Amino acid sequence: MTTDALSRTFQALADPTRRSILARLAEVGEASVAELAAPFDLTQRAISKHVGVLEEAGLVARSRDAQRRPSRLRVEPLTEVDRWLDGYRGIWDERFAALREELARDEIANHAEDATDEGKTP
Amino acid sequence: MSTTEADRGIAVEIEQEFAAASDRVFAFWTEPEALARWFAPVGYTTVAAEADARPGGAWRLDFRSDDGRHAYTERGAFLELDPPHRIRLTLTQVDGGQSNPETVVTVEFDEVGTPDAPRTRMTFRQTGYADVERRDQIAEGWRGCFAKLERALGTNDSQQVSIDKR
Repeated sequence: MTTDALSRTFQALADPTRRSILARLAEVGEASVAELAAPFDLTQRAISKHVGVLEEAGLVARSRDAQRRPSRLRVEPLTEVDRWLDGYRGIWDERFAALREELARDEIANHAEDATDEGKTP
Repeated sequence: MSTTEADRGIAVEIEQEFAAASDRVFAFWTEPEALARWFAPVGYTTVAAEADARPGGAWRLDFRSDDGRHAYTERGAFLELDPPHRIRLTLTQVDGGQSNPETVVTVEFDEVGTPDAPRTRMTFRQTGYADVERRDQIAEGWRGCFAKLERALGTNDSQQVSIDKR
């Protein structure tokens, strides 16, 4: 996937209404614009525009046949975002592995100190 | 923070458990000597560390690659400290004089062990990546840095893109 495609995905996801639409589609499978508009204080026309942005970004596919043209979620762009984020996730995974080692090293050092203290006790 | 708040829908989230009390894990996020012990990426060493752990206080870590060819800095500010429960800070990578957009890191620490066997669940969340992506050249720079870390798609069940239902 090109950077342009990723940018389109990010732009599509930058809007809370559109994220909400995607979350809804993830739950219900598919829904018409009227159904998607129901929970919002927005016109169907406004929702339709949001769905259009999601469709352009490839995050939503709409059936051509049925009159209600239900939308459904396409996960492909999200998996591309996930892959892109994987680089960041990887660096933190490595850091946390180092943190685990350092915490364990402290634990051992503390025990050694305790043992020494006990040794000093007459 | 306005530029990053808009992108909070895209985040890296990682949950880990450590065999240590939460105040000790927390300290590894705030004390410069402690940060220096784990924050450098694999193949790098921390050569300088500063951290002024109070709201608004700055932190900074300088890294150098083990072959000496590459040096860069990560820095930011502490936004919120609630020891030993929660910490929020900004994180910006500075490489070759080029500052990447700011990300926001939130870490929560929950005691899940016993007094005899302390254990902490650490929940990590970093947001702000979309800003990075919008600036294509910089994004490419990050990609280069992390290229070695790229993994095959779908090999790890814990990898998820979160979508805020707001």
